Amino acid sequence: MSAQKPLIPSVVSRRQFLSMVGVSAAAVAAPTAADLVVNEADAASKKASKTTAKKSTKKTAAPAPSVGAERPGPRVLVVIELQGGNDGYSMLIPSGDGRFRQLRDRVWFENKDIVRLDDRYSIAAGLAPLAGQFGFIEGIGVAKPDLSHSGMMARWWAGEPDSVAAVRTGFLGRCCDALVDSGAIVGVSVGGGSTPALISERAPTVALPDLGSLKELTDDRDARMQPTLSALTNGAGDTAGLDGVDAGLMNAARNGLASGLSVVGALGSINGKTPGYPDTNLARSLSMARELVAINAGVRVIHIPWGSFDTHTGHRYSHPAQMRELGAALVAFHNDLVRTGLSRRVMVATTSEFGRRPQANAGGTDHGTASTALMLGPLRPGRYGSPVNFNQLDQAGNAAATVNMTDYYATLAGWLGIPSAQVLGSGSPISGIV
Amino acid sequence: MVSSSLASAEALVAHVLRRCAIAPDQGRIRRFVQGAANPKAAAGAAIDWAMSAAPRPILPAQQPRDGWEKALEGWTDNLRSPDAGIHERMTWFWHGFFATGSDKIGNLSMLHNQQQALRNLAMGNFGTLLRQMVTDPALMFYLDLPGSSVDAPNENFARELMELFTIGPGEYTEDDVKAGALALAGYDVDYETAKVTKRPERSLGGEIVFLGQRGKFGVDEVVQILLAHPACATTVAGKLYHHLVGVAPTPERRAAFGNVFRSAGYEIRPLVESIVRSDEFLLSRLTRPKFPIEWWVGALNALTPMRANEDQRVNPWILSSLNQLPHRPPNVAGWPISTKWMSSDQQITRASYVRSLSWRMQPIVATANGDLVAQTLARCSLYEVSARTREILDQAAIATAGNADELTISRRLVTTALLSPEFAIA
Repeated sequence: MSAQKPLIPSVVSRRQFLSMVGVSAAAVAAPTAADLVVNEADAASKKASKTTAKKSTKKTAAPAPSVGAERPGPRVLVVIELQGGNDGYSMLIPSGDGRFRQLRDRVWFENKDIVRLDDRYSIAAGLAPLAGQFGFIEGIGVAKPDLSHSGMMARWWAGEPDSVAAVRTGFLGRCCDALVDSGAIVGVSVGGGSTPALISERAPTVALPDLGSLKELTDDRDARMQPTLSALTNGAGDTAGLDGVDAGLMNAARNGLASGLSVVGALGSINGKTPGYPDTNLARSLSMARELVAINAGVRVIHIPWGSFDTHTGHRYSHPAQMRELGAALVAFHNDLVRTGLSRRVMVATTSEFGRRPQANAGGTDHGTASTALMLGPLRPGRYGSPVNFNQLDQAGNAAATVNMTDYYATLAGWLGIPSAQVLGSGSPISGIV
Repeated sequence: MVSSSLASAEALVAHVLRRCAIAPDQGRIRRFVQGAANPKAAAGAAIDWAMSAAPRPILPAQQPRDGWEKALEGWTDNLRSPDAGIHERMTWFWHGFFATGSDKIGNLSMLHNQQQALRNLAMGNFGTLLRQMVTDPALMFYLDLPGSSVDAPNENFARELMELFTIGPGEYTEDDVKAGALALAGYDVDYETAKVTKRPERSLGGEIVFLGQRGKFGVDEVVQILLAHPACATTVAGKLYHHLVGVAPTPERRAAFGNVFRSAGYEIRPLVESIVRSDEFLLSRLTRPKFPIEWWVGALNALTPMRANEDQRVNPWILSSLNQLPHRPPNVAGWPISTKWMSSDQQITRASYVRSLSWRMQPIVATANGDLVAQTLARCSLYEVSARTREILDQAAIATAGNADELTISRRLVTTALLSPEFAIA
């Protein structure tokens, strides 16, 4: 996926800018739903400049989205998996760190692509419309990183910082197990097929198919088709007549069809057609996520793999472009949640297998270790964790992590009300965010 | 593993064609079964045919930006052809092995040329293929090699070259990655003409230590060192074994086929021969999830078979929903062998696809034997099904007999067979 259209200009509104400069829990704690609405006209106007941005606090450009009455229900976690190894230092940019600035000289951003927050930090312009509302966690990683995509993806999916050899489930899958209380689907992955992240012991977790396919199935003219297909899902372990066949594969196929049919039944009503979202894959996935929350069918964990962040080349162009796509999708999602009274129930959090090397290569960044993640939702905005030390790099040229992956995951489990020991071998929630 | 002593000739031949071609063709199955002295002889004849099947013609050259759809249709025509044998299978295997995504390459002729190279060398020499891929413009762009400079080398290509294309993880250090990146630095590729140029001023001037050897290395030396590394033949042979046999090799089998590959001087044909003629090959039926592309070709063979010299194109874009569109791998590691291909999204997308396409199918007509279910299974090249699946099909046939027209009954039966657990497995 590489559609990279700039969707939000590089200017942050004065209101958001001010709230971020003095970012502290007290300054922005407990915003009302109305405060949370981001004026899309502020954000999306192509003509916006510093001058117009100041004026935009008058909200003359367009009426603010409506704010729906809060709808109670269980909390939901939306994890956006930034694929390819996202450079967290290019989301919340330590622009005031002279050493970092020097290491990144070759790939430093154009002025339009970053917005200064204070003496120490800037933010990717695409994220600026929500600058005052993010929680950023700096320095996330593992103690003994390797720099292979597949090796680190396996650890992040498993929620196991050291060795995944003995782990059969995914961290998100275990969260689903901790939350399951009926046969309802608890975990859903949107947009990339099934994922090891959602492998569970008991809880039903599914990959959401194309919505067009769901529709096709619910509309079949032949009423007898459904019972016949349902019959194919029964018979766990039954391989009679096929001696020696891999029963595990037979079951996987039956279970896949069973989950698929349950998706048709339980989630088939969503249509991905909520207005107000940009025309991007991520925005579509998030609009489906909002619908999944709204129908209250039991879904608590939503996983969305997205992006191509393996920015070995073209870092200064492709990263800002993807931040614009991310920011625009998050603005639409956030406003949709507020509009529908769901904003207090949904936490968004990003993951990625690793960050990028502080020292840039000729035009990009190679595989790194520690990185910054962002969270968005009912949280106390600000910076958490602690910055990495760019003056102390290892032999490969990477900085040591300051926050273990499991502490971050424990924070996300905590949001869902799950004690970390129930789903993680180690780690404890980062205090103050949620 | 399924016992082969009980298997019918049809079952063995279907297995051979599922693994040595893309999906079985009913006409071919009949041809190998008829006149064979016993099931094993039929399977042998099928292997002989697949191994000697002529390479599918190289696709007509595409003009740059001629349209992705045309290029895609050319490839899927080849995949669907009843004449597709081991060459087509291996072209597909190498495409997943040297996975190259179109998302970073807007110049279609680069992708086309890469596919030509894979087709030319699919059964040739791995050393030649590897060397060609290291300076293949499409793969170079996909792995960010153009523009890499010895002053600030780009590590992407060097890392994946070792992790995925040759010796595998655990066989090299981060220092080897850095050294490899230095050795591969200095290339430019013209985006329009795909011309590869080496720039001495950005290339390695001094010596490096790469995998324990010191020297002033460039691309040729790096490839030579990797090919000479003991893990290379074993790793590549192991991946091919897993793909063709369907189960991961034991360390002993991995070593044994690694030796075959090494002593054959990395010739691909002897390795493929030894794998598909091994004792375990015919026994390893129904051992791995079908890839979406295999499922799709198999389903089309049942629903709307492609006939020789007849343009019966079916829109291949369903492969996008099934997450296996050619040149859209999830990442450079290609498409994994995984139960991912049997999960909810796949099954629903497949069910919906079959249910809409099946309104156009050629109905199954009851013959003198009258066994609609057997004909349905043959239509789907399914010769080994569980008693449970057969019972579901029997009941569907009984429940609908007399109450529905031929097409409706055929559609119900074929849809059921194509969504059965057996059809999801290769």
